[in-house]
Amino acid sequence: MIKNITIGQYIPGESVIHRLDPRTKILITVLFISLLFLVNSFFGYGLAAAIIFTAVLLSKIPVKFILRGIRPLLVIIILTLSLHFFMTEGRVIFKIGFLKVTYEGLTRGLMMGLRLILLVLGTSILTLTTSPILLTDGIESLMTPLKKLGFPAHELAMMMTIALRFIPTLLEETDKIMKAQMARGADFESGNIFQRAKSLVPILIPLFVNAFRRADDLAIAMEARGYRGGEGRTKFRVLKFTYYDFLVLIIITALVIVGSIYL
Amino acid sequence: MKNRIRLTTLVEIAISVALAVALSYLKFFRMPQGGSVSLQMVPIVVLAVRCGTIPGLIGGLLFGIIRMMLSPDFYYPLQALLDYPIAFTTIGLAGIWVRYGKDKIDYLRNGLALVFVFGLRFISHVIAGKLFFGQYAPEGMNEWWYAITYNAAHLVPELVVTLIVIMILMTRREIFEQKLIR
Repeated sequence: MIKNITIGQYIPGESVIHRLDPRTKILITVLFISLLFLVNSFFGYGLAAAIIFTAVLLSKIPVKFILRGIRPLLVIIILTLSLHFFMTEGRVIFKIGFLKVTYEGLTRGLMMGLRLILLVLGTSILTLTTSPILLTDGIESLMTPLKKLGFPAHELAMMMTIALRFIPTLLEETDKIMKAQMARGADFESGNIFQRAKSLVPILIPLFVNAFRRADDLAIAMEARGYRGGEGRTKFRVLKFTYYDFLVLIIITALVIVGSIYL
Repeated sequence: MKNRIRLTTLVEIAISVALAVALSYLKFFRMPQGGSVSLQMVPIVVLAVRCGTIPGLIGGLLFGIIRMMLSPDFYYPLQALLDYPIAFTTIGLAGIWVRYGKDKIDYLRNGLALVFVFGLRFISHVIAGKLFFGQYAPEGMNEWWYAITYNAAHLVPELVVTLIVIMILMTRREIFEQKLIR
């Protein structure tokens, strides 16, 4: 049952976009999303599309991975487009039987479709070029000011990092236990989903026991190495906000401000 | 000692979240536009009963954030928040009502509690769906009805599957009691 699972969408690379600081990329994505909801004309969406296009080119990620995110959306996009085309009142462009296409419906539908596609592309570029661990580091760093208000940014980020680290390990363990139970004659494939869920219990029990035992080991190991929370802790991989990050951030901010005022 | 319990809880939250993500890959079936049936909620419920409601809530929240990072279905800012972090955080509330008894287990109470927290998650997904269609579909479409049926189609089987598995696991004390392992 567990074969060829890819966890997350991250594709390692050395491109300019990959090398940007994760904080920069998170901020740019936030700016980009606000741009999409602020503009209301084809020029505005054109600007957003130009930003995405540049990012895709610079990231050197094969187009097929980028388009993969859109595929599950195809039905929704077609539905959105056709509903808008035929159901909006306004100036009629042409009629097919009782279906009439209006100018308002056409522009509105196209804009909505474009916004959806650009939104999905924008968020997937972030997850395609940034590993989940770096993303967590970036979020922690951006949340640091909230620590003064008692927000446990470090603890949350620590838990996320541990969780991300153990997802592949636990998947492998699940697979191993499944094979062990199959060797004893367990059957996980037949029956309806409720029977299949019940058949998974002999996997879940050792899985839980092992997982919590592992958690205990890890807690002891962390304590033995003097883990005392975030205060004064140093990192192996230090995030660096360079001039180049600053420049990119300024350019995008300027584009978004100009775009949302004029377009 | 206090620090030790705190650290153990922190690590147990993290490992439970990892287990939930791992189990989310074992899908019974998948819906065309996101949403699938798996045992992903079992570790979060176990965590909420084992370590308490607050760790359960944190676990749900982190699970939501990680799911969002791994495969974002981002169509509208509030929709994304409701579909991931908020929806899964509600499952942690199971810790308030689900009781793992020393001698007798109250299956009815635990079952109702799970139905209730899944109901909250359902509401969160439905509002997210309504927001999404409110943004992208024209006036006049029955958005509520669509959001309710679509989400019920995968949440009801997931609830039943989770219920079955949690009820069977209830008889294993070593999973729900923090002191017993090792």
